Amino acid sequence: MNSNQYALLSSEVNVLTELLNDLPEENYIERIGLEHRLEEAKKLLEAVNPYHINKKMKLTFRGAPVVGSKAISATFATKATTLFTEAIAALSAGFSRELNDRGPIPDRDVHQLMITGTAIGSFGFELELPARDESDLCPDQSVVETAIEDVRKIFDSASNGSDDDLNDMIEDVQPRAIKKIHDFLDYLNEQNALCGLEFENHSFKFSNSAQLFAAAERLRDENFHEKNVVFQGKFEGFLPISRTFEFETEDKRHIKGKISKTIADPKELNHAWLSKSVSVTFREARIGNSKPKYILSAVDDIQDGLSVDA
Amino acid sequence: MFNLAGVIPPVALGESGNGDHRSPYKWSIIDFVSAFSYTKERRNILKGFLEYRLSIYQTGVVSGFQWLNGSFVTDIEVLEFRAPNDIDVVTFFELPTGETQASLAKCFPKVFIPSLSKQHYLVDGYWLQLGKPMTSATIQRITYWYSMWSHRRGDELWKGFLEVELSPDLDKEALKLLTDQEVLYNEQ
Repeated sequence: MNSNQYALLSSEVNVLTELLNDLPEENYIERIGLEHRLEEAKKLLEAVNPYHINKKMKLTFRGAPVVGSKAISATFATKATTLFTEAIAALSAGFSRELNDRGPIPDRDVHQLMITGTAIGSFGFELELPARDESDLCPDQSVVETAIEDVRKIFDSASNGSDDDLNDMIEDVQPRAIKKIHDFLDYLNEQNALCGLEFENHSFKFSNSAQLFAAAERLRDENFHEKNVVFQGKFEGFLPISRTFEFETEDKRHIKGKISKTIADPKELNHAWLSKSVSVTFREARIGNSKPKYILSAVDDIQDGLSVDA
Repeated sequence: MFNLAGVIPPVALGESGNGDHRSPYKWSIIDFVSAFSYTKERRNILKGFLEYRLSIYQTGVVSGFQWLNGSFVTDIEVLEFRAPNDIDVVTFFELPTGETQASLAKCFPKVFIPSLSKQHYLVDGYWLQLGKPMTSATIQRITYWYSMWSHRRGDELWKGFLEVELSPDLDKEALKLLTDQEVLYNEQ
């Protein structure tokens, strides 16, 4: 059952309850019928595990390829929707592995969005997310749900946030996924189109083409700067769940950063390197003029260092 | 009869905004039986439906009309590769003189209790009494039935449905038509 169906069924239960409350006593036959409908609707609702309801999102478009809420260019709609779903697939796959610069996006079919209807308002589509794992009674938020929320936040951050805000937002997003998001916005810009996205009662829409253009530019490859930097110092801790580290440099600066997904077991780093003097190579990432983010990419990037204790 | 979505359209093609050829479409029981008796399973349901209507007449309810709905009035064989299981019916009825709804229900439970009418007649049947003062509560109930009958469960597609008068005389002809159809199909 999807979220629309669940909402309508819940609404039917409410309506039937009200109808029965307002039904005169002498309408005995009608009462039997409405009570039967209510019982059936309640049974259907009770059989649903709310955690297993298929969720939906809306993706709408405005601008040159769209005629109000009546029509949309088929060519534009096909390509724009494809680019958007590829971005979601890349983001989703990137949560669990490093993505190559080229080649098929892993698990694309598993993370596929399905068009289930049109979204009236401007013109767009209602997209259903993949079914949740029904063998798990209380599944966590799926990767596709997280990906859609992240895309909305990235649109917002790229439109309205500072470079630091955007850098914070995309620090866990793989470069190829960012490129896919950029490609989607770039296509809309090329077609003089705008988009809006709604999911789980949160929405974002680009107000005008200047805003969309600016967001696309900020997500362009050339706006990302990465380089390797070497520090001497010691690690103060590796947190395996959040995959973060804290590092004190020789000159007593404290650096917090991320542990790349290529490092399988961050816990082991505590055993091997905690509080030891090391020379470490971090990947330093900036977007625009943001503060740098530091990433530990590989275990081999940590080397025994000279003692830092005076 | 069905559009590309496999349902009766809510407004007939080419109909103007103030036209009356829109759902609920008024059909005679003869036209209904004739149009929907094209499979064995459907003929079986129609047989149950006609028996249901005959039982209604036997309660003294002879005046009113029915709104017909459910997979029976869609192209379910094409949409879901299955036969319909039953037919959904709301009967708008005039209460016979001297009766109450309670007295009717107690004397004729198979007709008036949905679980029993489904079991005996393959009819998922509901009711709304005509001839009483119109109140906001009545309008709410009519609105409910219209909203449920005019939208398909699952995707809430706006669709049409049929209205058939209670007509004891025409039902006899409809039953004959159905019987003739059965003989015809059995001979083929």
